[in-house]
Amino acid sequence: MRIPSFATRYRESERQTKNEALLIILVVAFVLINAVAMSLALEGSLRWSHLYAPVVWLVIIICAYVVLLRTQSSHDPYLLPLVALMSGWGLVLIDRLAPNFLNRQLIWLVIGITVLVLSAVFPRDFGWLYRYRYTWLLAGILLLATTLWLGVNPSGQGATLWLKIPFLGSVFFQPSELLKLLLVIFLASYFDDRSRMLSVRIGNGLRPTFAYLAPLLLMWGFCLVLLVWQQDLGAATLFFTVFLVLLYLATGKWQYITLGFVLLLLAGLIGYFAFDLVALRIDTWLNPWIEADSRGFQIVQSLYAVASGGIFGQGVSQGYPTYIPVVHSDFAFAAIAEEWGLIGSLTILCCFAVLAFRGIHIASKSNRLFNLFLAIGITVVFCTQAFLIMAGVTKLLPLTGVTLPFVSYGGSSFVMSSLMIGLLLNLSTRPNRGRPMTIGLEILE
Amino acid sequence: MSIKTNITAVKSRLIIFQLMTMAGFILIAFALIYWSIISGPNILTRDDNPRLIEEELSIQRGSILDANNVALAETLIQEDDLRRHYPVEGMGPVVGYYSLRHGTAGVESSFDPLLRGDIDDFWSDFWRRTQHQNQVGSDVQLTVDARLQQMAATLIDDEKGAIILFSLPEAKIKAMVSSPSFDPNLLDEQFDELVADEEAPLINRVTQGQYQPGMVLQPFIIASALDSGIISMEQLIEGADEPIVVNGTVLQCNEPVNIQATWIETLLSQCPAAMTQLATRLGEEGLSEIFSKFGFTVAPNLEIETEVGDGLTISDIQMAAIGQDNLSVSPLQVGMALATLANNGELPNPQLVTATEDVKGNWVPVESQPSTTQVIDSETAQLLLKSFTHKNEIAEDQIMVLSGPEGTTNAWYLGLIPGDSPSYGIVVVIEGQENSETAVQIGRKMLMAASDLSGGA
Repeated sequence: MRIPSFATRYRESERQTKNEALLIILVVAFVLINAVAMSLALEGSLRWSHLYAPVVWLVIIICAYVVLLRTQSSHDPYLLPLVALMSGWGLVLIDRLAPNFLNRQLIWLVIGITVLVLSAVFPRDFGWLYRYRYTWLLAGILLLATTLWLGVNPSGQGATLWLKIPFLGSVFFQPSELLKLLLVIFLASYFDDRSRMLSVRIGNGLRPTFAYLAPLLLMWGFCLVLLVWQQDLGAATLFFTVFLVLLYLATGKWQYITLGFVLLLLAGLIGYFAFDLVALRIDTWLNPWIEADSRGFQIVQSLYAVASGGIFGQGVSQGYPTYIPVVHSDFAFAAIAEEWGLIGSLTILCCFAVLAFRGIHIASKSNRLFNLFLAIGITVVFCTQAFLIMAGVTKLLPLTGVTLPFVSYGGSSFVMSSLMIGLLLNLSTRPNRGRPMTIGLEILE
Repeated sequence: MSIKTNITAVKSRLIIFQLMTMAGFILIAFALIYWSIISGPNILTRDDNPRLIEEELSIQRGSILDANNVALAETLIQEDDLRRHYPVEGMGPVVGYYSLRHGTAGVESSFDPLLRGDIDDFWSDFWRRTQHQNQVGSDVQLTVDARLQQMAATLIDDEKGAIILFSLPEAKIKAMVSSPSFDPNLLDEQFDELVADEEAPLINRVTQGQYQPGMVLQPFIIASALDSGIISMEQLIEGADEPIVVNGTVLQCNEPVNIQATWIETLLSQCPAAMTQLATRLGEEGLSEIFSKFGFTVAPNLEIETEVGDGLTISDIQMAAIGQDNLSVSPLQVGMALATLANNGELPNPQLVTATEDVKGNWVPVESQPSTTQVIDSETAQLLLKSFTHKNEIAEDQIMVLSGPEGTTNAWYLGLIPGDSPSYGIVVVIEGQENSETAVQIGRKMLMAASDLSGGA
């Protein structure tokens, strides 16, 4: 293998920096044009009320870009433009669909991008994440468990998945968002640990099977409990998918995946017969048209939105996506399909496809299993979440009530998604550095 | 069972994950294409698609104007909403109504595509939709004079009945009042009450009302019989003043006539016995032909909905000759029969719309349809016209008609001004009257007003 010279690497890095700058310029142009178009369409003139949010967004994105360029010059050049595009688009969309929430989302954007930059720049070493895996998991589960007693729903009805943050007025936090990341860290660490243990105990047929099967069942049980407790179909599916993908990567065994999916289906069936909400979602998924004015209303309205968008869309703020209940969180994607058409919805789809490729790319460059699993785990979280909501909107799957990362309204989701992208950026800068995790092997040696 | 767990092995599995991710996203892409392009156009036409209502609400309907370009129906822009507004009171029977919930009626209904601005040109429509321009409709100008219409609505007040005032010779409708009526501005709020109301305020009594004609038919039957030579002016008939009993009610001449009287004298005195004698001479076929010639057996051809009664076959010719058989007539039909006498024996087609606006905003006149039938000879028509009572330049006929088995009577007034060469004609019918005073007063005032407005008389 030919090792690229320093000059080649420098040129490569410079080219990537230029690409990133170019992409950000395109994204800025897109978001600002849309903000201006919306202001013109709604007010007939340029109004500051529609422009201040994109301007704040522009400033924070430029700041993030500059800080990353200065401190982490070899960071992945596609992730920040992707986040910029989706978050900017999301802001325009929230201003259009639920202007009351705009300021709140803007604050979350500032916090989120700051968290992204901090998590991309500061952690030099993920050893502490690796080491205290059970602490993270326990903390996450405890936090989630508290929603059982103290959980609320900011809208006053529906699943009580939020915790009210004291002393901050009506600010809410969704622990299941944090749990996503904690679970990824735990699983990355767990599988890293298992693989090394297994690498010294090859030959013992029972133990490795048990080592993977036991957590598989445990995980399934956990997701089932989540389903029972909170009837949160989306989060349960998401966690289980992350687990299955990492399990497959760690073992290469298709059997586990098959078993996993059978268990998932079984859980779905149990949910269908045990819980009205799950049954409702599945029934309306199978045939929403017969109850288009009652139980199938949301999905039918969503399909109308997608259909009326056509190829080119109705244009920003010129369609009627607000007929879809809670369009700004669960159905932001349908709103994009209506106002930006197939071109817009496929663009969002491509954003997540590119995100997936970059995540896999970063994982493939890792020299340590924990980093690889962490990168893939984060990628799976984004892809599954995007897949679940897009498939829900297009009636491929039942609605699961997850949000579209960065685009939908939601503070906890935005901040946690930013944190995860920050970690991916961080991982992208360290393919060949950091402390190798060889505690177990050192002992053996 | 051994499991390879080194980092190279794990990396080699990434490609599978990558392929699965791709497959998932491609699946979504196909679903999006399916709903946006393939299935989209079909599902969008479903009734419960709110976009259809939004589109309907965004249509800026054209105005309905009176003969002097006074807006009778217009679309107002209030903030971002469009609202159909009817600024002139008493216009319900003429303009009808437009309601998102209850549809359209009257001129609003018959000129709906024009008022909405529906165009067949695909590219113009496509271009408009792409630019998100509201659909803008064209205007319609009516023959109606808002002043006369309002006056008629005021005069009829709380009485039940109908008024139709028209100009001659083209039979342009100048006022058309049906009472009780409705306010199209309040249609949505009052619709259920209006539908349930036994007095049927949503029915246009002028064009759709079916009335027992009684002796209203007399001048037309006599005119026709004279015209065909079955009877003559000089002929003297006996027993014209004999009473006729209908459902226990005795019908007689209005005024005493000689034992031997001419047909014109029996006409002036509205003698039923003379008509029953005439019926025998005409026979069932002859009588049917007269009803048919004067347009009593077909719905008049007007720009709004008109109706014809269903009792078109004669079961008792004596009763039929005094308008107490199956035949029922609308005031519009009577109006046009009256116009025939004023119009040298030609039955005109009534006209409600003067002009419509085309897409470029130019007015296109609606040509008066030519008279299709010479019903009677011109001289006979003039002769009949002279036999009407002439008072203050008005030629008129007032008739009390037994209507219905309960013995209720409707007062009819048929009038023309100026009597010798009419420019305006009117038919008034007031339901449940003991005398014709109200109908006569309304008829005369309306004729004088119409004549004054046109600067004539």
